[in-house]
Amino acid sequence: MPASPPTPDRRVLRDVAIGGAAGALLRAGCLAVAVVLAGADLPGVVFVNLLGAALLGRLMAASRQDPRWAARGPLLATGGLGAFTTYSGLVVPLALLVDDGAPFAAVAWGLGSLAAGVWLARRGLGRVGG
Amino acid sequence: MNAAQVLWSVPLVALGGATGAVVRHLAVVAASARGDAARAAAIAACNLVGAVVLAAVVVFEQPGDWWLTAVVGAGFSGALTTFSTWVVDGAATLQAGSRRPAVVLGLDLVGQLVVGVGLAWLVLRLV
Repeated sequence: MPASPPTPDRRVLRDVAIGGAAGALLRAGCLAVAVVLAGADLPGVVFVNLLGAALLGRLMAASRQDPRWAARGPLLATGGLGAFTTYSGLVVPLALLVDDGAPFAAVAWGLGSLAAGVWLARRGLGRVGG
Repeated sequence: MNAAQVLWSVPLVALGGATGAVVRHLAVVAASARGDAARAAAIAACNLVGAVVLAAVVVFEQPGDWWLTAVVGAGFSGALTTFSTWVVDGAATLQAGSRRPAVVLGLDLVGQLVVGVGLAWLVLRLV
């Protein structure tokens, strides 16, 4: 008997899992390169997060217009870009900066990346007819 | 890390990443039916729990624990938490005007950043 096609919920979970695995691997690769280039992972985390925020904003805008992009949401948005970008990977290095006696650097990196992320997200959301 | 550890890290990061993304998806789907504020709270819960988990990994990590860092740190807590969904949801909510901008900016965005750094710092200091 041939295997029955996955039900929508199962397909969504499978897509989120595949996207999550790929996004996490891509992030780990980018951070390894950032450590070699910059000697620390925080610049790499900020780069990955801002790239992911810009791409997710554009993807959300495209999904509003075209159901084919919306159907790829679990794989690309929830799984892929959700896991490519990271909040824990941002706040733990910031906490280490605070612990090292550099609270102003932590505030600058934290608020700077948050403001830039919201700006890029807004730009992406507004680009395709938003 | 030697070459074998780098190779083994690939399936471990992928496994942790898949698990973290699925847990976040289930939490956000369960909350989304109750509106934008509940969805934002679910993302905040994933982000804050993941921040505490990663801080604990950093504190407890021993020299031979590269596999734990790969599966729980880079994989699970990295993918359970998200920057892109956090800021895009915030920007979309501000754009839609469905919630008060001061609450979105002060609580969901800046508030969550401050609380996350604070929780991670507490784990680093107290554990």
